[in-house]
Amino acid sequence: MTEPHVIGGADDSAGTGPAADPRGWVLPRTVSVGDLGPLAEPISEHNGQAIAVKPLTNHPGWLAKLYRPDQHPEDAHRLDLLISAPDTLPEADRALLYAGTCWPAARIHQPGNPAVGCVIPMAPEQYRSELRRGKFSERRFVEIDWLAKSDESIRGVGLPSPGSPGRLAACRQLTALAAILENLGLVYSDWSFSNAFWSPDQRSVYLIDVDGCQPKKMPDIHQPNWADPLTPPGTDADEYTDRYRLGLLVAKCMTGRRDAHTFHRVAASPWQEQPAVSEVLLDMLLATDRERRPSAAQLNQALNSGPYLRTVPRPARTELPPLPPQATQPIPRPSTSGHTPEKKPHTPEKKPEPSPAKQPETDAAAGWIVLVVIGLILLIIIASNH
Amino acid sequence: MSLCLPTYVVIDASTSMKPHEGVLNATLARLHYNLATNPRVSEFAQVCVVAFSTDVHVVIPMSDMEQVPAMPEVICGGRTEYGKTFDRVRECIEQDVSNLRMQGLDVLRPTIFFLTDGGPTDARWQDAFRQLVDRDWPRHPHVIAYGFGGAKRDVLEQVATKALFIADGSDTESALSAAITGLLNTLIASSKTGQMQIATDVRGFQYVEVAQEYVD
Repeated sequence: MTEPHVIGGADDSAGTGPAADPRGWVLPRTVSVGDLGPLAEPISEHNGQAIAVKPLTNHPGWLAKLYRPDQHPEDAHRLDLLISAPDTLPEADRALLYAGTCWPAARIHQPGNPAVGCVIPMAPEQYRSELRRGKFSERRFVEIDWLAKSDESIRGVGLPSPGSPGRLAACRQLTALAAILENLGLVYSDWSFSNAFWSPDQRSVYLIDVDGCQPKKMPDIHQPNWADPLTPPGTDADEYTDRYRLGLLVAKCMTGRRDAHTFHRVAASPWQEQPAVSEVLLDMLLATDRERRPSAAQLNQALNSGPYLRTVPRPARTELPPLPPQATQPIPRPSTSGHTPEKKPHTPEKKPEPSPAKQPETDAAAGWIVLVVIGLILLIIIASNH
Repeated sequence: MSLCLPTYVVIDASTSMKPHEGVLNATLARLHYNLATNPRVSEFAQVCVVAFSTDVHVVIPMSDMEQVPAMPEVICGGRTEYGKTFDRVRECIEQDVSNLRMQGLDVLRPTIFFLTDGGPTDARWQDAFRQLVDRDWPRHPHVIAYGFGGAKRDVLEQVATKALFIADGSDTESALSAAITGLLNTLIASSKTGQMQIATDVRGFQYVEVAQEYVD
């Protein structure tokens, strides 16, 4: 990682002789709707701040992301800052950012609306896989959601299981991208299962919706199960919110768990080759002082087998969340063939029904208590009669 | 803690559905595939599938569908007994909510997706229904109803507490498929926000707003 390049006033490079976009975008960084040529049928509609995402017929591999009309007028300036931000990065970081995100290439405008949307690259084909289950199969983008499942579950849909090396490689790239955003002074806020694709074959990740990034702070994008306990509802998300969510995502992807077990698995520090990862993650997730959460770069360094380097004392941490009691769930089996069509309506196999919890131990214990109490009463009566 | 929406897919498997049994099972299998290959949706919306006719059968007990190897097949035939169905679903809810809480989940109000192509053949179904949606019962569910074929609109207007979808004349098989798609879209949208987001645009169905929604 490199020195911070907080963006702000970096808009001079927008449209005034920027470096050629290595991804092959040939038009200027500010384009009118008309400049783009025909737009194909939308591949997505009414998703977040976008009303539609449409492929550019004349520019294969590129998409027009069209925003809702209620965007803030200053959004045009923000988009220009984002588009030009990679120019300030060292070559390696710029290459990583362009390869691992759908970083916007141009702002789209029209008369009366300076920020109709932006041009973004289509996610590479390597992030699509065939997901199979039963007799169904579909080729689609694989969300990083899958990496937060066990290897067995991942194999269950026909994807190659990542194992520890695959999980580590994906999380290294994820944190490297997060560190670049943090160095640029950008808040993403939207770290979650649905905003990154994962390639099991390439062991890589691809971050989407990055055109929503804002400098320093932005409205907190609420997603269930991703709420930062130290960012009160209604307040803005900032770099410290991002650190919590990134830590949560990495913890889930590294462990393949997505419940309270995640934290306990991290605390068990199962990564001998990366001894600092456990402590960095726990500080990100459980620090009582949000501003002392370790940075994305610190986590990235730990994932690369480095030490937990810090310039401030370690934060105090809250306790690990309690684990739920071990619960068993009946798993139905698939049906077998050979039902007689004359059968009365039924399902072919009797499902295991939830059975009431047995309480033999409780009953036995209660019996002993009654006996002891009776014995004590008898002793008192006998003693009082002597 | 993780949020969880206990979801009941309650499907009419009476004699009138017999000609559409193949489509019904294919549609259920597709529902299973779509949930089982979307981890965050299947984690959020734990699902129980119930088929009803003369008797009521729990096809899939409350499960994360990712953990269910395949959807069992339903064989159709028999009467359309609403009352027994509502009684059974109430029992399931009572048990399932306790189990989900035991797993450390934050449990949202259960939701029933009720799919039927006919009216009730039992006379006293209303008693069972009243008990199911009784607001004094803390676990009373929302009911979203999809009616097609010979479904009775006036009956479903009594059953739906959250939303009602009435097929606009499309054939039963298309309606069945569209209803399951609508159900799935509702679960996907709800999983994003952590609260009920009903997909009201269901092809071949008229969306009827429910005037008297039960208060949570």
